[in-house]
Amino acid sequence: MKPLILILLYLAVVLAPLIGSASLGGPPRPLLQELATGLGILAFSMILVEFILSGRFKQVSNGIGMDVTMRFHQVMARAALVLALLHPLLYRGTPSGGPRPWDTTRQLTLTTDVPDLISGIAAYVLLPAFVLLAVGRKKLSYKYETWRLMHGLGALIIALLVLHHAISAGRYAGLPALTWLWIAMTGAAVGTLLYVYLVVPLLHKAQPWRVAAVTQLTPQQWEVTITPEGHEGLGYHAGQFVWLNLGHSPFSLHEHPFSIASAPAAAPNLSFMIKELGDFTRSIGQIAPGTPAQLAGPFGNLSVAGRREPGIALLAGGVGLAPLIGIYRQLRLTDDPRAVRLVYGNRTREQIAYREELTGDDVVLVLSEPPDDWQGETGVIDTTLIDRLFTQAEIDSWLFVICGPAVMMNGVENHLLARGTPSHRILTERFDYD
Amino acid sequence: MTNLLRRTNRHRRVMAAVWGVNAALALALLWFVLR
Repeated sequence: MKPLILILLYLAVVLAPLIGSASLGGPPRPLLQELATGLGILAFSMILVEFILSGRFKQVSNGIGMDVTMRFHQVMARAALVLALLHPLLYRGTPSGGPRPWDTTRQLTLTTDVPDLISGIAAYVLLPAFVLLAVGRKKLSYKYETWRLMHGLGALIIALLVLHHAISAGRYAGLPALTWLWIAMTGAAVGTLLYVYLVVPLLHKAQPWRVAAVTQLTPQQWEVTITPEGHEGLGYHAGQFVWLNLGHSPFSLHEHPFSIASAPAAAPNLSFMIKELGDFTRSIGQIAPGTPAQLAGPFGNLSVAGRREPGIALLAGGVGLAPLIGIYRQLRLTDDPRAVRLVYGNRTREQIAYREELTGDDVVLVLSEPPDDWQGETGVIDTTLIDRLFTQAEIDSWLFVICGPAVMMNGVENHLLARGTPSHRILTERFDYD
Repeated sequence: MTNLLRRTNRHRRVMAAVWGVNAALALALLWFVLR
């Protein structure tokens, strides 16, 4: 979907409870009370929409990019946390609770009885801890599966606590229509978890794959090829990625995002270029052919399909080659009339993957630590190299697709923008969001 | 924590969307309080 439509949808859903409360909730109370309540209402609906922004919904992330989706999720989570933390501080009530003589029908006040507030208090304590754990997840170095389970379960518990709190203690959410609205929204949010952890695995189970080959490409990089079992395979665009589960139950959380390195034209097999980096990828070489596999996807918007630029520049650093070689292969296999130039940077010659395939005139290999007999480019993919390899006309009119280390992507992207490449002609996608 | 989207063109666009959304939410909250 287009970004503007997504933003409008986001606002419509997040604001629905606030608008509903205003139109159904009777006369407003003093300003601070209303502000406190409004903050709580907004924070809750923002938290619920976070479930949809989890990056698991193609309808959301494939139009704008997974990195943008996740960044939006992260920033809005922080905003929701701030609103939620301010929410109870602005109420002026009797901390000891109990009925107030001037408000026997409780039209003017929220309850301050602890039993009615206990779910809210629990959520108030859990939410900051939950967000802090998410922000610091890299430093805390969880296994990816542990992190996913914890984040999903934590979100579920917080959503249910806040729902209980809103209905039991909220002035507006206690009204039947709004109670049902909150239940429906929370149900939809919880439903996304059920969808991701139950429905999607069931669908995957019906479309199994099997590892056909595991090949060592370089000392630290492997190629894993999988083949569909009893179905036609995956429809995707070159450059997209999938969540890959190798050898585990479809219901386990053992799945990881990998770019597809093979071309759709070479279907039905899929191959992935995987570098030994984390706890999972270090053991990739031990995976035996025949191992069952499942995948979810395709995801990502790093695709040149349907683009009208006369030429395509593929700028890859290290394992960032994976999606770009997929695009490169697709262009070659389909005799695409567009010009293409693949620039592939590494540190040493041993790190160059698919070397025997990358020999054409349209491939530029770059090494920062070249051996004495090196004939290709030396250095890193930086501004000087870009200026040498691409003419101003190419910089003005070509599509640039960049994947590699952050420092390379930032440098190249900023340089292209400075040289006049319009931002819609620069495609990037990052797998490290924080 | 290094945010890898920071200082890039994409990041600027995400943040423009975030600020736009937050501004709209703030306006809605103001309307709710002052209605």
